[in-house]
Amino acid sequence: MDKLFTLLVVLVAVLAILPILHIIAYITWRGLPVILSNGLSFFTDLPAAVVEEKPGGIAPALAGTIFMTFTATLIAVPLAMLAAIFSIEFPNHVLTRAVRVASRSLLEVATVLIGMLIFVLLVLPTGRFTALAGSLALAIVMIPYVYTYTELALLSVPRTYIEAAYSLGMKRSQVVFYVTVRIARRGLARGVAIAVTKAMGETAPLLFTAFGAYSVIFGGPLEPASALPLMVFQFIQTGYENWRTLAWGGSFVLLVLYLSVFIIARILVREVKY
Amino acid sequence: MVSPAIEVRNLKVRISGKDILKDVSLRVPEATITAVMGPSGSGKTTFLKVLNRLIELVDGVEVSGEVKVFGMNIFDMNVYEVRRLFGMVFQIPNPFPHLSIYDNVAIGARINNVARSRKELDEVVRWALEKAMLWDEVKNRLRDPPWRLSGGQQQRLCLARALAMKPKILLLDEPTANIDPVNTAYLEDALRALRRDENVTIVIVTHIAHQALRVSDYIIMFYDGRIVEEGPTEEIAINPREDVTRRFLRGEI
Repeated sequence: MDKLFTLLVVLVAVLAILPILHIIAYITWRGLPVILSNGLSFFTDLPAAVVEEKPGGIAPALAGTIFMTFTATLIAVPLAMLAAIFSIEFPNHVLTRAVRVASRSLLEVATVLIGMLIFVLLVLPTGRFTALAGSLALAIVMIPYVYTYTELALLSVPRTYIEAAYSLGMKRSQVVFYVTVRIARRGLARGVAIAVTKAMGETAPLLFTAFGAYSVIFGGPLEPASALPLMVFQFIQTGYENWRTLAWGGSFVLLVLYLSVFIIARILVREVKY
Repeated sequence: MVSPAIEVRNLKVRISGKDILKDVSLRVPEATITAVMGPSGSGKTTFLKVLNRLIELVDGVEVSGEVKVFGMNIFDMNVYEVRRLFGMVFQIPNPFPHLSIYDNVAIGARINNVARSRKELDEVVRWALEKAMLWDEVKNRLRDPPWRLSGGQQQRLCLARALAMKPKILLLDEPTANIDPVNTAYLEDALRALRRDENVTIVIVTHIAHQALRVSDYIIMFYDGRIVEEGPTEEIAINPREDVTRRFLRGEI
């Protein structure tokens, strides 16, 4: 009976991770050869014209992803972390309750609506799609993730360390920044990593904000831009074989970026043992 | 009687509407070891945390009465100034897990500006670790994280951390409840030496009657949020006046 149960559990577990393994394997199978056969130019070139045989490169999408993810992180992480610290320090404050509700709702909102919001607030008034609008949309996508994970990580710091810190005569801000945040650093890094990968993988918020642009590598923050998932989405549905090839290669790059964010976060931030 | 380091008058503490301390008044003489003993739930820990106003971290706490430390009313003082008068050691060893052994001790000194140079800081850290009787065991691995130490060593590290603030008064909340007899003996020796050599006033909360008898000069017996008996340790050990104290000393409550 026990053995049967174990077998069942293992079987279900395998079933659960099968789709993930399938995605990884399939994208690697379709994407890796694209990169191998095109070499470095795959990363540095513009996409080729549709009449050409060669696919060209994903440079605009890569540059856009790097720019928009980076700037979105710069906006979202400090904001969300400070909000989370505020929530922990003033758990009964009106603002804390408001932030919690807002953050929880943001997690549930379809990200395409976040794109629409920026479209209405920024793109329509200025009359142009911009990389910066994309960054803002991605930042809004990231905020609830960073906030939620930061709050969880800070809450999991044992009370006794906080008491010890106060007993040394530390001020509230010193307790937060010398003790609580440092002990929770792994959890904070995990939150940032999850939010960054989330932003890197988003297509919907960029549709009405960054829009996509493939004629230059990166036109600047105030010009339209592309991103890896956006390019995959836009190219895979075209009938052009060379663009579809680019989309597969781009998918593989996205996959590798995903994994490296988590690995880098693990290496950079050591776990605090107690 | 020696002049009081701590003077408490009509102290009452309510937490979420429940009376934890009911009219406590006492004096703790300077440079003595005072044991606050009593069964679990008698208000000992709460009393200790009132002294350095750590109790104010608890939600829904109401404190009334007067607490004077070296003649100063602590409720009139800046809360951080109050806490800097005291070093505190907790029931569960809680060295900061993200800091090395050295930094655990140094942080108290840094926060309180005890040392002005790197060299002075080194000296304070060494002094504190020696006073906590831990120096010989850790002097070659000051950069190690604290989890490499045993529980008893961690507790002595916490004592060193508290001492590095150069506090006038040391508060200990059942410091040996979670450590072995050998480490308990080390810690108790350290406390006696601190009172003798450094004139530190020590208040130790304990629910172990034997510990109170071993280390203290004075005993304050708490029961149900009140002081039922207090006096020099020998007197209370030989001839307790109250039945509650007698039963506590016999280990019945």
